[in-house]
Amino acid sequence: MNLTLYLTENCNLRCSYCTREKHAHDMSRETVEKAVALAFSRGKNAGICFFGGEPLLKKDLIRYALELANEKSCQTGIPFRSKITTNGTLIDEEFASIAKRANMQIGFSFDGTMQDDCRRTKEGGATFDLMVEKARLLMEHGCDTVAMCVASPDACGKLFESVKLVHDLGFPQMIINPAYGDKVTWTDETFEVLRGQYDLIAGYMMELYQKGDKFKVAPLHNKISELIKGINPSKYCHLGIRQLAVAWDGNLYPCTSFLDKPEWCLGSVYEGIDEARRLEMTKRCFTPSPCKDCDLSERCTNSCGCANILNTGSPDMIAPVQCEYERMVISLADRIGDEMYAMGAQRFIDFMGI
Amino acid sequence: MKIDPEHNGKKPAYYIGLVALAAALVAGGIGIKNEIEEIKKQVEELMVHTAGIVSAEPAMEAAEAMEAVETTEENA
Repeated sequence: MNLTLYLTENCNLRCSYCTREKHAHDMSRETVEKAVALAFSRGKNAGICFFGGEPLLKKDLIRYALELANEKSCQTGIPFRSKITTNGTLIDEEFASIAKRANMQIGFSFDGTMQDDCRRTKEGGATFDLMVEKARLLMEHGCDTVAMCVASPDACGKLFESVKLVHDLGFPQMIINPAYGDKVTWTDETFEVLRGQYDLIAGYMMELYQKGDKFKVAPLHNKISELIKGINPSKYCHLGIRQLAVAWDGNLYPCTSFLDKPEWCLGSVYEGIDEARRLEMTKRCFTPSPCKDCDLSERCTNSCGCANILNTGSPDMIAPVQCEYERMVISLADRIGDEMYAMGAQRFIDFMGI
Repeated sequence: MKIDPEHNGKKPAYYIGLVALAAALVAGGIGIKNEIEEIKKQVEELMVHTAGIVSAEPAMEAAEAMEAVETTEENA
């Protein structure tokens, strides 16, 4: 099974839109051992995503978890995959080599030219130049890396140039997410700025496509490929069904967004999974009621409990900004999908990896 | 900004084109026979899984093959 390990609640950055509380709570080696054992205890695959806080503050625990998991994988024959979501500032040669050897997928949180608007150190220092250096290091090592960019209302006017920068740094793909939660406020005006930036990005995507460049930007490419192939269930956590989050103290939750909500606890790595509660969760429908008869419902993130809880406080209620955003990106994705398809079916099929 | 469910039911052209391509593959592969249910079943499977091996024809040409499938269904 897949587990997200919340290695520490500490972080060396203070991002303006971050909703996580920072504490000096770190996972113990014993909890890591129990978590690795749990990951291999059921299912045909084992996966661990290192998360936080900033997980690279606990490089020793990452090394330890990888050692244990590799041993388990050899003993059991169960394939193991690892991922990390990191702010990237602490990446060094050693980690890049470890990640490359482990075939670890790196989610590199980088806001491009918006970086210094939103992602500063806890002392208030800029991080843009450092991040460009770290991005180049990962590219040199050939690490499997995806740039993860958050567009906030205050800085989203630089989103298009950020996409171009990420492409020019050599990333094969990037993921854009709008900033959600109580630290940000989207207005009609700031949303229109975001819409204008997405129009520019769509034009840029077509320009790259015409040149044969395979750079992909989620959510635009995903909305096209998921309509054709169907949504890949492995990409979504399904709140406690496919994967679980492990808090620093070993307690289990459906997702990292629920770690400060004891009412969502699903057991612990020490006492095991509370199967009755988990079963209860699998039966619960998280699709918000206004979305149930929407034609775009299957293509939308409306049933993402994490986003919903950030926006509305409830896992099964969508916020107007999320609905507006999803409709915008689906419409734009279909527009560029049609343009790409018109340039030749086989080329389109190859590009989308159908 | 508002919650505004869509109800137009329209699929984008690339989706319709790919479905037509998959149908063309089925029609070309097993011949036009009165095996409509089998064709339907295979279209459903192939439109998702094997569109990638279709020798690419422009969507409009592929749509003709789709019509051939529909004609067969009508004849049956």
